[in-house]
Amino acid sequence: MSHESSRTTTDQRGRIRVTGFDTSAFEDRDERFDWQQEESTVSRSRWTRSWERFKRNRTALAGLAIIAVMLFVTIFARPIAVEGITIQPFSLAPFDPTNSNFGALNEAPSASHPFGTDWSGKDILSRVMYGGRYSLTIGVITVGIALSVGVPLGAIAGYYGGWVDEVIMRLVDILYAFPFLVLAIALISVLGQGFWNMITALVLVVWISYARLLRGEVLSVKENEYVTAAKALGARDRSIIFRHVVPNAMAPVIVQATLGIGTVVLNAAALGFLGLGLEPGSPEWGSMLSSGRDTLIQGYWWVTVFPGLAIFLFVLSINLVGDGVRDAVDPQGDSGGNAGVR
Amino acid sequence: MSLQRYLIKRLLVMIPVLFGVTVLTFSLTKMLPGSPVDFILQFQETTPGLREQLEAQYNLDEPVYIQYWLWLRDAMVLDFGDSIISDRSVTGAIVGRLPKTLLLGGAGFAIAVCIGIPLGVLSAVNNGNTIDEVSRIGALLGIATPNFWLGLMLMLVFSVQFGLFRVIPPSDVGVFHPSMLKFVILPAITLGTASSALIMRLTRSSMVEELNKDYVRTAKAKGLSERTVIVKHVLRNSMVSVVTVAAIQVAFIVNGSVVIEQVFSWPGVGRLLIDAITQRDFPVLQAIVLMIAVTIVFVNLIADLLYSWLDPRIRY
Amino acid sequence: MRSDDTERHFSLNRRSLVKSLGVAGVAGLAGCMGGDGTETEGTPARPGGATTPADPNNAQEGGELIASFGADVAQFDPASSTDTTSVKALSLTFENLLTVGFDGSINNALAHTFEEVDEENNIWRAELREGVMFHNGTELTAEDVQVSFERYEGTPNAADVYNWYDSSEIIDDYTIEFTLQDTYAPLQFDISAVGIVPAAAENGDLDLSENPVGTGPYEFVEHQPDELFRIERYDDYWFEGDDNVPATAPIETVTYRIITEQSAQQAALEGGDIHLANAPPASSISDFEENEDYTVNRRLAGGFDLMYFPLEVEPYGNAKVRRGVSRLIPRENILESVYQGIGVPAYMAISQISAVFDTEEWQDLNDRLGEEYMGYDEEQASTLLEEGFDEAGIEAPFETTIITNQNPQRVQWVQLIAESLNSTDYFDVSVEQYEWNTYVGKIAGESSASNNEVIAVGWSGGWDPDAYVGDLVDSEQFTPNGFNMGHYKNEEVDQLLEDGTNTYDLEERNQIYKDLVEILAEDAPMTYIRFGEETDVYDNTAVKGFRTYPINGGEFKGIFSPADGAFTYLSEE
Repeated sequence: MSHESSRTTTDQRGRIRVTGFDTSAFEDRDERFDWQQEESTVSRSRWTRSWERFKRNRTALAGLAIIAVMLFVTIFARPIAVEGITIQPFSLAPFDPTNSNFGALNEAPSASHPFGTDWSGKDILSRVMYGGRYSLTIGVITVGIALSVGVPLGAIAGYYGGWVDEVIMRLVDILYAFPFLVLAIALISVLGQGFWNMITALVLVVWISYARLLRGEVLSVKENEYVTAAKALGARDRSIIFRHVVPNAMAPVIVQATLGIGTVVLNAAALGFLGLGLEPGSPEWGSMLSSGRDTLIQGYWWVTVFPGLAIFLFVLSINLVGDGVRDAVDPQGDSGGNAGVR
Repeated sequence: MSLQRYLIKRLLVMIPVLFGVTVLTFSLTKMLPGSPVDFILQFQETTPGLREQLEAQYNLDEPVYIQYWLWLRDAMVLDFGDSIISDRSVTGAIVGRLPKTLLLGGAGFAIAVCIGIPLGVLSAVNNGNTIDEVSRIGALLGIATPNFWLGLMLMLVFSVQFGLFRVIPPSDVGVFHPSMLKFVILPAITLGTASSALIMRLTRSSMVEELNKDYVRTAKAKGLSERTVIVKHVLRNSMVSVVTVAAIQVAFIVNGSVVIEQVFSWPGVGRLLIDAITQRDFPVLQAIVLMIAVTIVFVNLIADLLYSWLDPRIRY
Repeated sequence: MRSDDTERHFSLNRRSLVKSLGVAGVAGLAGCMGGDGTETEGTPARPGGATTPADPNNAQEGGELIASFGADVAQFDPASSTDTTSVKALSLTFENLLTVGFDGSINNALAHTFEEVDEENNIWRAELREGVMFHNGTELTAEDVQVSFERYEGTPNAADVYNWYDSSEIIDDYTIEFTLQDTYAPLQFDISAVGIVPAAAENGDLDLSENPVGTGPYEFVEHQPDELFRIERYDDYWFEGDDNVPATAPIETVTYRIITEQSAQQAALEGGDIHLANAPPASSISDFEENEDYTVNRRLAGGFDLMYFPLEVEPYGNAKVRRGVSRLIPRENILESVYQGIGVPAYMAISQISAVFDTEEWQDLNDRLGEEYMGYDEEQASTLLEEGFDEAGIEAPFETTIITNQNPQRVQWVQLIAESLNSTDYFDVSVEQYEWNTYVGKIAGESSASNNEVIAVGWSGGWDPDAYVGDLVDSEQFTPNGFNMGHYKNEEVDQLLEDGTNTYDLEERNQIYKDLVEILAEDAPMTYIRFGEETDVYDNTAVKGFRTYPINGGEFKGIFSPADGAFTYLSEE
């Protein structure tokens, strides 16, 4: 799990192990002691402590670095212009990802085209660089919207209990019974294709896990003393929920959200692969895989390998980061340990 | 509460859920633009009245809630009618393809479990050292790989380059014929990989949690061998989470097989589903979606029961 | 992703066998036709393969031929089957009164004579062969024929018959007379599209959708959904043998594997899992051509790609704009990148295989129209667009959309056209693809001419020129009642179309259709991209004598079609 486990030999709370005045043991104990205390209040120092832990996790940092690089490349691949004003003038991509080049059809990777070219001569490296925009934005936006739908609903369900809880949870159960892809395909067939339709379909499928997770957290947290105390002091329900309960329950949700970005990107790619993605010809990674599929047997492996690698790399990094976040925020693995399932 | 009461409570709760599932299934298919009549008629020059006739034949001219009721009534006795496109029985079509999908799903699941659990145990036991790290990275690799891409890559390497595995299924053989094995291996690996990664991680984390508990130390102190401890106590308690995830995997595998069946041209239910969506073959579509959803609901129920049987604390 | 078949057609399906020229003097037709069916136009015989018909004396008996379909067979009843795969599957099981050969000639099949007996009242008489047995043991009589035609009423394919059929009269057991509604030039081709089934199909004793009983050389054995479709040689087939074709079909069993992935089909052929692949992926053709063990048959076929303009939306109402767009279509590039060189750029609607033009004449016509009206030319396009936009009062750039379905090649060439248009200052084009049903709804719906969407679609005709244009440009055929998607109205065109179907004289028709395509090129209500080819690849060490039929639905006719002089056998080696 976290790096502490490699330095100390016990995770037991309150245990003092004397190991030759090793300061790391001392630090750990201190933290645990502190952490227990702060469980009852919302404190920003908890987050800074989490950040500290995160920074020590090498694989997570590696993941973060990769994502940063991908983000950088994606943003600077081609100029960005809003309303005619160029915000970002740089163009890292060697070729225009939308320009066909009939003299260079289906070329294998070479010096001028490191990732080769596709059926219309378009440079695959440029398309992969540029295409990251779609995947990244879809991932982030979907998770963002899903959180803003799922978190409140889950909180309300968990906090109020009773029939509100029952209704919301039954709705969740019903949606949960449908395999994601089937639901998404049906939704896209209904809504049509396109960027926002795809996001809608993905959001509708993804919000339920956040709702569920948060509800579970809320259930376990709401019995704590500080909530009772707040109630006794006359605080209103809504403020209790949002100022006390939710922030403490957020830890696993953040983990899930980070990992969720990866899942959404994978699923968006799957939809693109099935032909239900964005406008034809979009350099979205999944769609690129789809169009490369038929020519795979001709031996044009680069059309499929590179976009797939991009998806893979991104999802891998996000998962590393997500794991790092989990370890940082919740090293004991006490909450949300079952991959947020129950 | 006792297991029985819990079971009853869960069953009661399941009823509105199943009902909701049928409503959702039905509404989704109804919301799909276009009707199967359009599909049948396509570019045909239609004689007047033909459209009405076809619509009446499939009850498409009735109000929606009547259609729903008619459908539900028949579905309860597993009569899903005939496919609009082929005039053949829906149940027959599904049942014909089900063995193939089950084969694929089963093989995928088997691979997932056979790789996932042992790796997870290995990882947990070696908690903290390199073996652990390597396995965890490996699991991450498995999760991050898009399964359709993996399928294509495997097909490229093994079928195209090396010609080791067959691309189209052998005909005229039953599902359990040995020649099927060569054909099912690549899709099953593709399907099982991501699942195995998840199972591995879960096994590992729940085992780690268990291993740190007092009773383990007590058992060790009592002199039991590590292996006995692991197998008899830890594993059993870890199974709680694993069972849950296994239930999840059913949904996962259904999802996966829809895509995998496309990639490998596997003649299973997933392909039928996609075709039904494209052709707006409502009876087939509704039947399959309903079947999947109900299966998942029941699988979750069983998982919950197992879960609460294994750990009586969890009965809420 | 998937081959054409799975997408249930963006082009007319059964019209492949329908709608062509009925000509009194059948014999003369063969000479007028483009090619004799065994060569590809202008290309020499491929290395490693023979394209000449097999020698009946060498025919080896027995064996199982394994071919493939790109989609599952949906419907066994010929009156109800609306998709190509079903027609293909049953082409050896059902037969017709007449059949159209590999070169477009009309041949007698179940009817050993078919002629007009009363010109004034439009009555034609068919005399049936005697002793023809159905697969269920009953003998073919005139009653079966009458039932076969009349049962089309109320089915999706009703128009195949009721376009021309008025009534029929059974003269005796083996003679039947048809009364037409009016003179109808494509009569014989329409007749050749109606499958003859036992009369028992009508009274409920025989359910064709479960049990397809016909008179063909192969009878239905089994269908494993999504896996295979199998037929077996019928021993009581009526054919007695002649100089060209042995009496019994050499191949004993034909199994069609259902393979939806094009790459899987290619792999299956390479791996020996199938002997014959129809319409393999274009990119694989050159590999197979270089391989001596495989024969590649290519024939210019009846399918073509086109884009229809919504004429009620400015500036598409202006002919110069339309021609300007046509001049920006990079047909050569499309041919190269999307189709790997398979096919021919199209500058008119009527395919070379149609009855009225011979090869050279057609080639010249196509080239000339390209040169004068439609061919790629940036400069001329610029001028045309400038003037057109001006006249229409539209400001550049004009935002518009091209819509397509999910056919992978179509999606690709539409992208290329959009790119070409976008590189000028006149257009801002986006591409939208729709799944099949939505797409059909859009292109066949009332508002197809008033939506700001240019429609990219495929169309296929058959042997008769009318099939290529009639439904598309006749002002009586506005969507949703026909396929005149742009709501094009031109009286001259209407007149020419009518004259075309009312004349039996070949020379007259030749001129009529020449004028027609010229008007259409100038007016350009739609623009054309490419004529497709029908391609077959087969393992020539096993399969001998297979000929390629250029019309959809007839792909496997070559296996055994005595009336057309074709058969295939499997070699033991």
